[in-house]
Amino acid sequence: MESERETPKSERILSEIRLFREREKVRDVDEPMEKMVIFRVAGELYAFPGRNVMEILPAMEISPIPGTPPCIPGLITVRGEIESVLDLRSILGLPGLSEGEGQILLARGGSIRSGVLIDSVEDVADVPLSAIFPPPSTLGGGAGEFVAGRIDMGCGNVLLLDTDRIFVLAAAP
Amino acid sequence: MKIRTKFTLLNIVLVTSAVAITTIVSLAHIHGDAVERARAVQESHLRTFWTLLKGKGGTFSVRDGKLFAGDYLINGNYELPDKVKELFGGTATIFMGEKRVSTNMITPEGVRAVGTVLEGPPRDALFREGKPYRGDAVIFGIPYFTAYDPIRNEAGEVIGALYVGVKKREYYEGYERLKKGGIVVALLVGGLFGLVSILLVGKLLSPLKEMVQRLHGISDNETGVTDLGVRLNDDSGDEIGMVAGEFNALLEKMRQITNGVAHATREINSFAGTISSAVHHQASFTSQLSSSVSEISSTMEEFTSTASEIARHSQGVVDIADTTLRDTRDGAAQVETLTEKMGEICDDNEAGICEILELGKKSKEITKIMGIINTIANQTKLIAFNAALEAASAGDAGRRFGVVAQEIRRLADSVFESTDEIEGRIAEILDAVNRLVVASEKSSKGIRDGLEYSTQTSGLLRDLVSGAESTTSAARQISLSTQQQQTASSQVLVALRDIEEGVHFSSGSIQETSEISRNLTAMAVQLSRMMKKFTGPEEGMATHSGHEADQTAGVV
Amino acid sequence: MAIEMVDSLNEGSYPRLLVFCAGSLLFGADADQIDSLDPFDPDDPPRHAVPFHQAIGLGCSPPFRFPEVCTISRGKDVCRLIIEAPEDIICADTRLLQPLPPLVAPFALRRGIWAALPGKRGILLALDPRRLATERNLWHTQGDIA
Repeated sequence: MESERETPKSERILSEIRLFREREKVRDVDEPMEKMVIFRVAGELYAFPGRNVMEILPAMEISPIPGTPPCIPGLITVRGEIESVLDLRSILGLPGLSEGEGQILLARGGSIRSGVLIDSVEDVADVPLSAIFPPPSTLGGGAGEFVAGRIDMGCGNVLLLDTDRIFVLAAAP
Repeated sequence: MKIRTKFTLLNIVLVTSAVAITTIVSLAHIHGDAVERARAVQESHLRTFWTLLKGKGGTFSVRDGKLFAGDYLINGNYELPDKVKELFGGTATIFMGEKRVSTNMITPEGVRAVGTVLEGPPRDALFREGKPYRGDAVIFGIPYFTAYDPIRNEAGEVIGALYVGVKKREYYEGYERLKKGGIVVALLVGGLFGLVSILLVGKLLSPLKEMVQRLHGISDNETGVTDLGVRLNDDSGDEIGMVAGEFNALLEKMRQITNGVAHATREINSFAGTISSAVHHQASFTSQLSSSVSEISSTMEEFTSTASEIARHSQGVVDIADTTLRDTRDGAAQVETLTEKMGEICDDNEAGICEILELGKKSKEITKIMGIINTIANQTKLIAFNAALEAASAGDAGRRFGVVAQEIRRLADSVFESTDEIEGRIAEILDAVNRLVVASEKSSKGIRDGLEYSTQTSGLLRDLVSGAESTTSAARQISLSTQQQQTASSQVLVALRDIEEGVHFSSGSIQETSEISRNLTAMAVQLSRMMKKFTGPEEGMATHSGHEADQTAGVV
Repeated sequence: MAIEMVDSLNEGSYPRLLVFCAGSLLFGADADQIDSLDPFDPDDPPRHAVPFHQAIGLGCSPPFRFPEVCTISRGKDVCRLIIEAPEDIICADTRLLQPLPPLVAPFALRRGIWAALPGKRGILLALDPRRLATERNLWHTQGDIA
């Protein structure tokens, strides 16, 4: 439902954040918070725990490696360092193709560090733990095993992902 | 005289001469021979006579007017001469002095010729010179071979002479007979050879005769034309044949020449004919030209009168046009002013619209810049996110840092807000601009229509003006043109006169050329006729060309 | 455009890598392992010559511009790879050469790729040709007719 105006995204975010801030003001002092990196993949909002995300990288070229499975598109160079990239969409089994300008989260899972290709980062925010709920049972498909919980952001549900599990799976085959 | 006759005569003469000469020579020899013989005989006779005489006595003397040989009396003693006659025939005489005293000669009267006197050369030789004489003598009118010897006495004086003689006729008889026979033979032979030679010569010269006939036939034949086609028989290798050959060659050449001439004649004829027809054409053309010229002349005169009328009318037109011009000019000026004013309004309007559009463009530029600002804001946001992440792991110090990061985040967001607002404003502006533009366009249109209308009016007036101008200038042009035409027509008349002259001159030339052509044709006819007299393998053509020539001559 | 030459005087500067392109990827094959490089004659291709992109599993690849035959051997066995004409031979500085990230390494090693060198043109993938030949079963014994 895009309006004819440009940058509808900023409108949406603006409204979401406003709401969120309101809540934040209330919870800010006492509540134990956890930093969350909230992002979008295939139109849906997901989150990684902030401690799992080392850096958010802008969209960049990924060099493919022969012999890697489709969920591993290839390598990137970050300040001279070679990092692998995981395609989260592929791992979650979400439809569509991760093409073009997808931002990359430099994430850590277990002992493995890797880039994770997502569509775009929505926010890096403190989330009160009380807002984190167990994963919904209605989840289906391949994404189900990676969802660690559900965050109630007021504007919608954000699925919290289990970073370790993702990486383990990726490292497995 | 004909060659044949000449040759024949020559032959006859030659033959006859040859034979005659031979005969004569032979006869002469025989004659000579005879004479020799006669003389020899004479000598012998004489010797015998001497012997006889001397036999009578040793010495000779004259005593008492009588001649004695020793003692033998000679005078009146005819013993010895008769003896001689008996022995040899012929005459013998003993002379005492110049007188015949003993002889056997008989005078024409029939008596012995004693007492006659010796005469002539013998007498001179014997009695004047004392020499013997041998020769011919005529005695009593009869030629004799004579031989005289002087008789000398003891003193050596010539006292007489001894003579023997024989009639030439006797010796000449054989000779005469021979002569006659010889002459007859000669004549016969001559005649025979003459005949033969006539025949042979005739035969030899017959080719010549034939040649003559043929040559004669060239010019003198039944057709009356000189037939150059005649050829002689040149087979024989002799001079006649060569002559024939040369004649043939000559005839051939002549034939060729005449053919050439005939051909040339034909050519001349045809050329003459061409000239004639050309001249004819030219003549007709010239007369056409002449008539055209007179036509043009009359037309020109009509033309001139028409032109003056036109000039008169055109002047009236000029006056009308001038008035129209003045009026329309005034009207046009007024419309021009109106148009100008309307133009100004329009321009202002246009300018306004332009500015509005410029405004619109600038708004779009602003949008672009905003895009850049947004990008920066995005990047800033990213940095803010990363900062927030770092802050999360940095504990208390991190919190303040996190606040800073948050502020940055907010800044980025506010930037977005602002840009959003600006975008909204711009959108509004653009809207307004569009509306304004539309409105302006409407009013512009109105003005433009008005402008157009006034322009049209202006245009119409201008057309009128230019029409009036054209009319005026056209009328003036007509005036000018008619003047020019008058000049031109007088020039034309002059030119026509020139042409007329030229035509006259041309006619004269045509006449001359006609004349020349006629002459040529006549000459050709003449030649042709001459050629007609000759004939060869091209006989037909020669005749034909003669006809042509006659025809052409008849036309011109 | 060759990769920038690394300063060969630095310590630990080995191995020598033969740099060539395959598609959009840049490879650096261990030069010491290479027996010979010969121009490739399409009318007379050497026996058992394998196009590199096929050997390494790159899928489709643009056609060769200047193909060459790279021969490696292991004892009596021989492997011939058809590669695009190499651009350079560099001495890779081991300080810059990075091992592959753990997620990628197992897969890459199975294709003989054992390290990566970041650079201006992108990432150079260090290749062990013998390993590639072994992993992908590309060895042919000399005298093989098949």
